[in-house]
Amino acid sequence: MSYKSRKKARKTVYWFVMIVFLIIQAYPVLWLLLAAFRPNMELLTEPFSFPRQLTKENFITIFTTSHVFTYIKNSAIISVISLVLIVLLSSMAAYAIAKLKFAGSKKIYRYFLIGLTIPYAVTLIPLFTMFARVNLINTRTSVILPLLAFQLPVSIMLFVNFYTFIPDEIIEAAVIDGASAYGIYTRIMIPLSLNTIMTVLAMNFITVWNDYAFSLVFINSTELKTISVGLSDFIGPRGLKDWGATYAAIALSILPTLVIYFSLNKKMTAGLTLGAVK
Amino acid sequence: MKTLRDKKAVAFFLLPALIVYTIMVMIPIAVSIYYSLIDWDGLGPKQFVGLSNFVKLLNDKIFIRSFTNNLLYIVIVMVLQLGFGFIIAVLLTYLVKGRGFIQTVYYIPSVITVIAIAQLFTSFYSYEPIGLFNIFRKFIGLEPIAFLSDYKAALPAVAAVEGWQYIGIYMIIFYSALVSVSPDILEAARIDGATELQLLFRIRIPSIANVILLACILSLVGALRGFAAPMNMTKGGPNHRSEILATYMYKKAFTSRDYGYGSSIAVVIVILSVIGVLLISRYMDREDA
Repeated sequence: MSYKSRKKARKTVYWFVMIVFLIIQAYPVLWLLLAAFRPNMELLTEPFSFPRQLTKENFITIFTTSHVFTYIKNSAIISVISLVLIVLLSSMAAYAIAKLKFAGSKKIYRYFLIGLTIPYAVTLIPLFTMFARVNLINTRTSVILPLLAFQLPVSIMLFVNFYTFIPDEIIEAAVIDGASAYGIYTRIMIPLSLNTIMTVLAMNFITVWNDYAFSLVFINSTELKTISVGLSDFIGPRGLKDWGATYAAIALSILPTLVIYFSLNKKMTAGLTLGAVK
Repeated sequence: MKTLRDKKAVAFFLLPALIVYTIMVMIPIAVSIYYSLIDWDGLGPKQFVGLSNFVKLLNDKIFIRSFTNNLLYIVIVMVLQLGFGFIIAVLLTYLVKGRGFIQTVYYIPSVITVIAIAQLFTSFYSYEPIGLFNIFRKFIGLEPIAFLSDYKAALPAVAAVEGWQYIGIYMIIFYSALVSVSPDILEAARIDGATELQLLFRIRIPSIANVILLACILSLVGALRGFAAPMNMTKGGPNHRSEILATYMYKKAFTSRDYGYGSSIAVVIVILSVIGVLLISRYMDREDA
């Protein structure tokens, strides 16, 4: 084979592989968004053929006969409260670890990082009995608190990584000008870290919105259920599923994450690489 | 710098996070260890039984199966995430145009709730009505199988979902490490006649070894957190063939109300994640040096 044709063959293989991967990654989600608009009958008989007709039926079903709106509202409330607390507590702790001077700051940082490796499942039984004792079962607090705690390590790591880039000279200058430790946080650290805050918000929103384990175990009333857990509502008696309605509900539930992702995707992936590349 | 040594300020900034984290994450681990030594249904009196829960575990065939299943689950998830993530990342570095678009699309599954993905794949795996994977099997001349109720296929089918979902994360981590490798070195090696494969194995992989290690740890930890997909797709079935430690623990504690026994399974999960902790701190030590 000549050099030229070999180069061409290589290029063809390259694009073939790229496109196959692209289809594997994108097809399921596209199919889902389309399936939400297809009649139930068609989904039952030939779910993977090209759609013949599109309908709003599934959305009408979920809005009139299910609690999808309540679930989405609950997920939204839990997400917003958790996110505010996550950003506040993790930026404060990271500031103390990265910029304030005290014995054992490195040890404390490591103590937080241990949390990165702990599976949620391990804490379910103790948290359940703990919440039961203080009457927190079936409250939003019972989901917010563990979510907050489990998201602190990764958020603190992101903030510490960023804060170490803020030169100590700026802080020293502020101290000479008479700023207190509190003033440095509110007037220097926070204004400078708006970008990092967006990254932390975007990354955590995905995790918090998508929580399953805590909502499943700690919440049992329909009024407080979140969307992840609520998605299994569409399984009827004898395990028969209303597929059309299920897909419509799934499509609705992933809408907020997709919106956040498409508007903040640079910030989100920045968080990933900030942790990984040094 | 007296201002920065202000003890009250240190406490003010550090304590809220420290307290929430300690109460919600660290204390429950200690409590799990305590619970694993008692016999308790959650309501009645607690009875100290020593290590007998663990002895029971060793004789519990379902536990042994969940444990080996869990190891296999971790392997499948890691191979998919790291393998495909790496291959795509390497391929992406050769792309001149449209890189952002491809990255964006690859990452989409990672931002969607596991439950949505799990429901979606349940219909892809379906036997009746025939799902996407069985249409494909038929197309290449294989018999359709009921993936999620098949003894052999259920576990890989469930693990593949989590593996597939987060490929995008590892693709991005690997990609941004790969492009940070100095292009001058690569160019010099190319001029010296090195093939692209040699470049990959001799220059690119060695220079991002740290990131590869970090990605392995992230993937391992993520796989250890697996719970929602098997819980939602098979509930551990058929006959515990896709049972992993977390789903078995959940059933023991919240269905059979055997808190002590459930906690002893939790302790086993902790031991597994300690391996992860050790790996991470070794990574940190290397970075400090």
